[in-house]
Amino acid sequence: MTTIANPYASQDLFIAVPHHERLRDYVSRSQQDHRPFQRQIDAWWAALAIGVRQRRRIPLSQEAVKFNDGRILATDPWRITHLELLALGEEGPEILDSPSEVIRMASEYANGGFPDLLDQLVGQVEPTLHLMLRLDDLRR
Amino acid sequence: MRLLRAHIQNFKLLEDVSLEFSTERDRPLTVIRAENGSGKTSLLYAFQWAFYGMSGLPDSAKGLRLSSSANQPGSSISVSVMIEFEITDAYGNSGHYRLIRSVIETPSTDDKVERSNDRVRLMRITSAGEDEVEGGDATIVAWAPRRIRDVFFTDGDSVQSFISGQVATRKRQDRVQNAIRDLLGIEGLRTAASDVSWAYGKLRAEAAKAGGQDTSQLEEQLESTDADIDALQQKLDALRDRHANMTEQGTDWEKELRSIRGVGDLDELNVRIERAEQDHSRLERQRSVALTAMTDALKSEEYSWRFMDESLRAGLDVLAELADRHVIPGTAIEVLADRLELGQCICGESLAHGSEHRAQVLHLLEEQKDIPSRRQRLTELSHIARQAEATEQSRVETRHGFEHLSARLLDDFTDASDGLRNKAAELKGLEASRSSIDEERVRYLTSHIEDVGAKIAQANQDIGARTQELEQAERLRQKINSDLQKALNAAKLSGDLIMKRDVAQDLDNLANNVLSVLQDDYVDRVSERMKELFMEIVGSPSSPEREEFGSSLFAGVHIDGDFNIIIDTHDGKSLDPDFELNGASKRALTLSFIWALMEVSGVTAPRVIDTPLGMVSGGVKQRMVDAVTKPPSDGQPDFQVILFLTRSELRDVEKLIDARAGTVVTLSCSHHYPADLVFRWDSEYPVSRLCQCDHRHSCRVCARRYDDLHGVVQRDV
Repeated sequence: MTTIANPYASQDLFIAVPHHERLRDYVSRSQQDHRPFQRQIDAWWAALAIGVRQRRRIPLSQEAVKFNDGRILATDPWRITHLELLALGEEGPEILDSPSEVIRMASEYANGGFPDLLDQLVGQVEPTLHLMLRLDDLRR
Repeated sequence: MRLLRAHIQNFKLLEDVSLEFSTERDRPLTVIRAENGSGKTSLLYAFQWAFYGMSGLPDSAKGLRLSSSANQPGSSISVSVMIEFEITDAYGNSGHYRLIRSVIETPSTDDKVERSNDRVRLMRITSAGEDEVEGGDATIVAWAPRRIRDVFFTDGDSVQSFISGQVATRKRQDRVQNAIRDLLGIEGLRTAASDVSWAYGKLRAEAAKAGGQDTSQLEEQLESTDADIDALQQKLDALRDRHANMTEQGTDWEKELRSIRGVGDLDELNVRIERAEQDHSRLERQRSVALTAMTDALKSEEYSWRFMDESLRAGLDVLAELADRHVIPGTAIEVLADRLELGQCICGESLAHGSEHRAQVLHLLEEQKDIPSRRQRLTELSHIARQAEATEQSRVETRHGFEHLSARLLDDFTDASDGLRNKAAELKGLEASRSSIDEERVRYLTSHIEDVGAKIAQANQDIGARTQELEQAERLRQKINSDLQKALNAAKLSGDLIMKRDVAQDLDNLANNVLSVLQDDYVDRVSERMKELFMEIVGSPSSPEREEFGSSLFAGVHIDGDFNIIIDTHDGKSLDPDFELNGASKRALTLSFIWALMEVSGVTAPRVIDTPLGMVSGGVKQRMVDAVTKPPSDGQPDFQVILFLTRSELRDVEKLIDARAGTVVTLSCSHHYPADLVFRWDSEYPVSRLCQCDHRHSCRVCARRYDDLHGVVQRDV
């Protein structure tokens, strides 16, 4: 079957320090806990989607934490497809020649989406449930 | 008396609690929001202890250790309660006082505690400073008599003791009578009437002595017969009390036995409990599965499409445009490789090894490998993206897109949560039923009901015999008295003595009549006001909430001559408040009685009630809160209500609390984390704390799981 190449394997993935600190409580530490995100990449992607939806793209400052590298994208290959479709629509075909630019664009959208995402989670007894209930608001 | 503020230190889990009470005339209510186990009862006991010491605590709490059981053996701890209050005397003079009661407790290793004597200080606070009041303990008891403690401080259950059969009828009647006498201040008149009766008896005896030997002997016989009658009356009263106590005890035992037998078979209950526990576990798993599925959904491709569909389609449009312009070929390496692997071309021709078609496809594949890398990349992307788009399209068409997935998961979670709540309630009920079945208790009750039945029959015979004796003695007294009057009329007595005796007789009649009229008048006024309040709470006959009281038959309520509180029905009958009223009605009735008593007496006193709204809901609850917190009208004295309410008691009355409460605070206990409290406190041992959150808010101290179900909003997190 068709396999997807991962040109982003060598790119580092970053989250701004303040968002990273707030995010810790909402990423699972074991199979049993019911936190909204199983891995940091899942939270990053959720924020990216919100940032794209709200057209909020904020460059990362120097205060950022590397939480993984691009190899993690291959665990859900559809993310590479979505990433490249997004980049194509935003910047045109040339951007695909520069994986670092594609990741920079995605990181900026994730950076734009994190504040709203984290605001929905903080202080909630059942943050996963609350986030599910508020997704329609985040899409507006 | 109005409470201004209190400070409690080391009383049970109340390590350091300060609170201010509302003293606003238009907002007489202070609410202390607290769930069960948060320290409400400790707070109530702390108030009672401050006023009356250990003797002010309920019997069940008399052996109570005052300090926290977390306190280590051998280490002494000071327990103290300070209450500041205002009191106005009979002449309208107000004073501001501070009462401090403290004690040192030292726990020993055998779970006992050594306690020092209480230290009580009462200070009068004036603009010039503080002056200690001599005999503070006695002064406090004079201002707030211990016997009416139940009117000042009570809880939702024992508040019913004025009407409930938890105590024997005579005690219940005495409690109502004493509460009326103590609050209405007619005890002094009773003493005066008794003194006048004694003086009249003495003058009558003097007159008989002065009348000669016959009258003197008749007077002695009369006194002796009076003593016999008193003794017989006391015996008869004691017998009747005993009979009433035994009858009530027998009724209680029979009621308990009926309820135990009505519960059902123990084995069957165990099976039902086991099944309910299995259901509960299954629902917990379902809830957990729903939450895990939500986590999966939040990282899914469907979620990504749902949020980024427009941007992704913009990318697809770019690819389509590139294909239109033949920038990217219509075939791709992956497609050709796939077809070769499958052994069949897109057109249906066989691509078997050695075939001409296979050679052609292999050639095309070689050509593709020469295309520049960006075009290759775009070609691959185009192929994969089209597949992804088609898959998403299919998901949406078959209602498997994120929108439907999310709705399904929320439904699953809600179903599981609702099911869990219902199952937990069912389990609780079944376990309560199981714990109420006690075979040993059944044997005990059966045997005692039989014994008490025999004793009641014997007591009936004894009462009959003593009643006959008493009637004989009274007939004898009438005869002796008649003979004495004749003999006195025949004798020559001094005019002065006759006048004194006759005046004493008139005064005796007058005092007893005034007492009777006053008492009857006060009782009538309390009775009338109680009826108004009760009917206001239970609603009009057409009100649908009347059903909540278990009866729409109430026509009124009154206090009878024996100080029983009686419910009247429309068909002219009366209901027994103990057996024929449900919990909501009992609370409404008792609160109506206490409020009527306070209003008629004009006494300004705090009414501190723990959990008054249990078993009450909807419109009834609103009317009950409305009735007991209504600000005084012009001319009525100020009053103060302090209610300890749980979140569920506060539900449906939030707006009334907004309007009537001058102060709302929240009491919580650390040992409720993590089961109920959201945040852990920085305490190594269990402790109760007060925060300033009102009924609509919570904070890091008091936030509880599922607060959102009660509309409570979290702040300062």
